[in-house]
Amino acid sequence: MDNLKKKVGLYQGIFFLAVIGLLFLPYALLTLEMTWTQLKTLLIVYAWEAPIFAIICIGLPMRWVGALQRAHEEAAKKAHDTPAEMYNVISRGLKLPLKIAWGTLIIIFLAFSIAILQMIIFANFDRVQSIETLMIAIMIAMIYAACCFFNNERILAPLLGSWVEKFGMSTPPRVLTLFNKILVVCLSIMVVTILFQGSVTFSHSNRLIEGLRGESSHKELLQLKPILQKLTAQGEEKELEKALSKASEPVESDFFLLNKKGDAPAGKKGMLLNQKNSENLKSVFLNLLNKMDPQKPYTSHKNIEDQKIYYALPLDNEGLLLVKVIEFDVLRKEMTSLLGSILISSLVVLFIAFYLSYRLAENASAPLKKLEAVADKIADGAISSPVNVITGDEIGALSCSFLRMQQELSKLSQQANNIACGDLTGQVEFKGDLGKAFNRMQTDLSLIIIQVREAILKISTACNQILASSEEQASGASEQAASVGETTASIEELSATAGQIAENSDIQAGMAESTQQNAEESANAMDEAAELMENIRHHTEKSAEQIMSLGEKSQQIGKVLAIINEVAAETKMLSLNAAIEASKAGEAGKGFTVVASEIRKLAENVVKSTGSIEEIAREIQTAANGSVMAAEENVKLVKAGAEKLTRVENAMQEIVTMAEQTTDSAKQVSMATGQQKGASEQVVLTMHELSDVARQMAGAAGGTTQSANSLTQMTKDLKKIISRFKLEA
Amino acid sequence: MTPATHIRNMHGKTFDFLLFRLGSFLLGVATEQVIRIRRGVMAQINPGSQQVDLRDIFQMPPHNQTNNSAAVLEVKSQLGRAYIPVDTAEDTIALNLDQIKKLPPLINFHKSHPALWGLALLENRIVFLVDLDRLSTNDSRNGEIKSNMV
Repeated sequence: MDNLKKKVGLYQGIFFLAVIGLLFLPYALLTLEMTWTQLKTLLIVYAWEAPIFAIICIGLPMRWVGALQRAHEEAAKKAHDTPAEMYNVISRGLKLPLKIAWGTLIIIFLAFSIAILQMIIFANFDRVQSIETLMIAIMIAMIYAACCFFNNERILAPLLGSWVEKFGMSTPPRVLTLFNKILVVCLSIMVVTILFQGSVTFSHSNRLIEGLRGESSHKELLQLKPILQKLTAQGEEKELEKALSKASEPVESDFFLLNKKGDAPAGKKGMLLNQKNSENLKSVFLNLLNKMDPQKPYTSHKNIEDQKIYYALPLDNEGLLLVKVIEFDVLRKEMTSLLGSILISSLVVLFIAFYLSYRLAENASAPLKKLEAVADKIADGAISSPVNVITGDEIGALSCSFLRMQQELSKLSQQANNIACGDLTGQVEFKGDLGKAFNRMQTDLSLIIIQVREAILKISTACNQILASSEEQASGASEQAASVGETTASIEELSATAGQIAENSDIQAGMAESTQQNAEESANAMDEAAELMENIRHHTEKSAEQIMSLGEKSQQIGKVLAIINEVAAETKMLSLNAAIEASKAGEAGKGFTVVASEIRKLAENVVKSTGSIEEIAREIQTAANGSVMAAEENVKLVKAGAEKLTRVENAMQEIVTMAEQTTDSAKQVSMATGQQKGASEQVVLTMHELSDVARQMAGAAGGTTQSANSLTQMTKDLKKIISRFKLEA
Repeated sequence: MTPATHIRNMHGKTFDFLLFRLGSFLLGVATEQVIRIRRGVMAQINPGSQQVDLRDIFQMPPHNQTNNSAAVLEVKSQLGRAYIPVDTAEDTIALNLDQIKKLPPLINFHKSHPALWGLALLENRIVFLVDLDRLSTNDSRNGEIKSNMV
């Protein structure tokens, strides 16, 4: 909760306590004649209503102030976009005191209305009491509202002033003009005064009427007392009854006798008396007897329950009282009549006071309005606008001051006009700081004009020099612009070439990268080929060894075959010898001859077979030798191939390394050419800008020439102008 | 032992011959005349013994090549035990007298020797039959039996 809301709430509470608590309650207790029951009811009503309506009267203005501040914050955020919104917020702020005043007025009036209704219902408030309370309520509500208005206006004024200053509002909205404010204040004072006077008068009138009634009743009782004493002494009861009836002829009162038993020995036929029983009359007797004062000739008793007033006078020493009874309504009728006359007269007074207040407000505000209009015109520069508001009060004095200020300003205006026409010879007769400042300005202006004249001569000389220089500069700038144009064309070609180089470099970088990848793949393939070659060499050597082993085996076969041949030859020899021996044996050896022949044939077959085998073995050996030689040759070739492959692999590795270097170089070349391209484009742009600058320089040089010419002309013109000023010798 | 001259008159009887090769000729001698056959060359077999060189006798070109099948026939003749080196001892066959033919006169056998007494036709081979006994009788004209004294 910020300070503003706290302050508004605090003052609302203080005024509530002061007006409702300290002003209303004692005033109501003093002016309203209430019974004890009514008083208790009033206090109960007051006890629950006062806190509730205090909270409303305090809380509602605080809420409105908070909403106003939030609206201001919202509007301040977009004040530059929607100034109308800020204007509305300030208007709301200016209207807020009036709004709070109206709110409190209605709230308090509503509270009193509810309270009066409750008193009528629960405490038998009569009409007079209700009207009187209503008058007090209007008075109290108006006082509270007025206090709230002026106080809240005072609290909010600095804040609203800061908003207006910050926002730069020229004219604040007129929420309540001075005229209306004076009128409202006057009327409020009048209404409160009338209501206050009316209620006080009404209260006192009530007592006055009661007193007058008591006096008249006493007189009647005194007039009747000797007659009744005489008739009582004579015992003429009929005459006594007649006398009392005659006295009771007016409708509003009854006369009767009352003893200490509560009986009415005479006059008991009265209408008012008929409604009473003996217990009530006994109570009335006792009350009258208690109030009997030796200093006072008569006594009276207001019986609120019966709504009657009893006036009594002792008739004898035995406690017999002569009593007159009248109803409250009689008094009320008289009081209502009095109240009506008071109200009518008050309305007449109010009307007169309203007219006078109106005239007062108009008298105060109308000249101020006219003065405001004149001041506005002066602010707009219309110094000669007439001030025709001359009254005998402070506003008239203010008008005279306005008139004097207008005349002095006219003098200053005239002097300024003279200065404008070049006459610096005179001095203005104007008192105060403004006149001194004006005269000093005139003196300084004279000095400045002298200095300007000297400066014009110098400027004129300088202009001629500038003119010559600018012509040379224009010529040089044109040549420079042409050179820059040619250079720009060359650099554009260079930039285009750089672009092509950059594109080619990119392609080359891509190709180098591809080459690197292929070289790496080839190196990998070479590694695999080398491994395969090694395997081939290994298998070839192994095959050669096996073939050599086969050759050795075939040689061993040859040896075996030689042995077999040898054996076969021996066998053949043996078989031949056997055959010879068999043939020598004649017939007996014939069988053996056949056997020997077969053996010989076998031997021959063996020889033939061994020959074949030998041949085959020889062929195998030859083939094995050939194979061994071939295998050795293959091994040599494989070794040579492996060596070459290793060399190729090394070469491929070098190629890969070189391809990587080539790729890196190509990328660097690509980047460099890209940068070169960018740089050349930047150079082209710069050259264009330079060309533009050169053109601008050429143009500027031309402009400078023109300006120099213009300046020369201007110095001539200035010389003419300055020559208009008349200076004191 | 039946002399070759007697064989000519023994029709219908079979005779066993040892066939041996000398150069390109296939020769045959009666097995009765052959004591035994030995493998190898003469010098290795029996140095100092009587040697009959049929090449000289039949005027055949000398054989210079190494021959693993070379053999020496140990024969008995009128001269006694003699040794005949041959290129190869081929076979023993039995021939009818009918199979044995006279040497035809048209055959250009200018080196013919009286020891060559006939020929036999064996399928696709021609065997010249040699009578070892007649080698000594005609040594003046057709050859001589050498005594290789080592």
